[in-house]
Amino acid sequence: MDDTDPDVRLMLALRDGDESAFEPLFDRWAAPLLRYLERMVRDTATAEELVQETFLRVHRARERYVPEARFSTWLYRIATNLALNELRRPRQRRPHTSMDDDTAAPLGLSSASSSQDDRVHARRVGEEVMRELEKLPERQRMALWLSAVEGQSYAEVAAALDASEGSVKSLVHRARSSIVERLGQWMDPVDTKKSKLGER
Amino acid sequence: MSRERDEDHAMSRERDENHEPDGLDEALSAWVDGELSREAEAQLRATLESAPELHARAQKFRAVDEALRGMAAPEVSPEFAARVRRAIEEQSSAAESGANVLPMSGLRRVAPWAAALAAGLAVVFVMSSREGSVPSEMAEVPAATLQPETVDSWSDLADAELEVALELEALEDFEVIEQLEVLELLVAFDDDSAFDENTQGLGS
Repeated sequence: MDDTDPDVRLMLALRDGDESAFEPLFDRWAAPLLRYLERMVRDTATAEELVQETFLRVHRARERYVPEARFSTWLYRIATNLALNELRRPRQRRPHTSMDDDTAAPLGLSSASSSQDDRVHARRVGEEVMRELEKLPERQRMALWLSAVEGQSYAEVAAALDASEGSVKSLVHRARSSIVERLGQWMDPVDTKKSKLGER
Repeated sequence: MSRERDEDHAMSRERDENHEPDGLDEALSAWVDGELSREAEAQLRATLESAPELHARAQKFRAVDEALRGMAAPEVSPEFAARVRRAIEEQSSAAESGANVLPMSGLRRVAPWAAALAAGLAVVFVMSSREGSVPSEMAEVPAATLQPETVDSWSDLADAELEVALELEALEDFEVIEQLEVLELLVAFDDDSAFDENTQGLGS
């Protein structure tokens, strides 16, 4: 049992009947979970439904909660299973309504200062990387996100994906490698990048 | 159909995870993640000394991670937070009063018509099986497989819905019916047991 994890302590309090312990758990994890699920199912409304369902399941399971890993490992395992089920469900997808779609402003490199250039470049690279991420197979996408963005260890990602650590190592590598190959020149350092941005 | 889809999925998962690894490049990726053992890291560092291009490669891997981390996280709107709180409260009060709550919020919306349609399908199936048009193995499903205690995951269903769902479980391989999306939804009730199994040892 990981009793150093403050979330585990909150979950134990919730198990023992302290309903107020749920609030800080939700406040702490709802946003990262939404960010993760939105990237996985590529739809904000669906991601919100899955976040809600994840917390409903956590709450429903509170009385039989036995901590044997970090709370987040369990939480992401539930969310990942829900996302995988959602992705396998045959249905017509709604268009992607990502919350940051409206940040894709046109570039204005000619009059930009150097630091503005860097920021613009960083944002464009971020958007391109995100687009490439969304093209990856679902498990590569999940593995890379959980490792790189959520900072989970391979062991934790393995628990979330029900995979071995070796598989996670491979999934993360293939995901990163694919993005780097597909983006090519976009991944070059910023000082050699500006002219290339203009060419695109 | 869903079985074929599951098989396709399993095959694609196998292809995805059991490929021939590019040892050095994969080690470089694991190094970026701080996941190499001490020995493997020492070995990689020795290789890096004579291979500056690997440094550049590692830098690109890091750039991918930084780009992903740099994308703004969505904020949870107060409306959404309130909606989840309401759903939790509803679930709690339903549990206290002994009422049943369906597992997925989306399912909750379709449950009434799904249950009605499913009931109709079940009637058609039962009538068909009496006429001998159902494969014999389907008609001879052992009674034990239809007992509620064997499907704990459906304990959240209302009794009437549970009966229909249990009946439909036996129809899962019945090709004509299987193509109906409603059956997919009902089969999805099994998610809860999958979660119980899949999350065992992690916290529940």
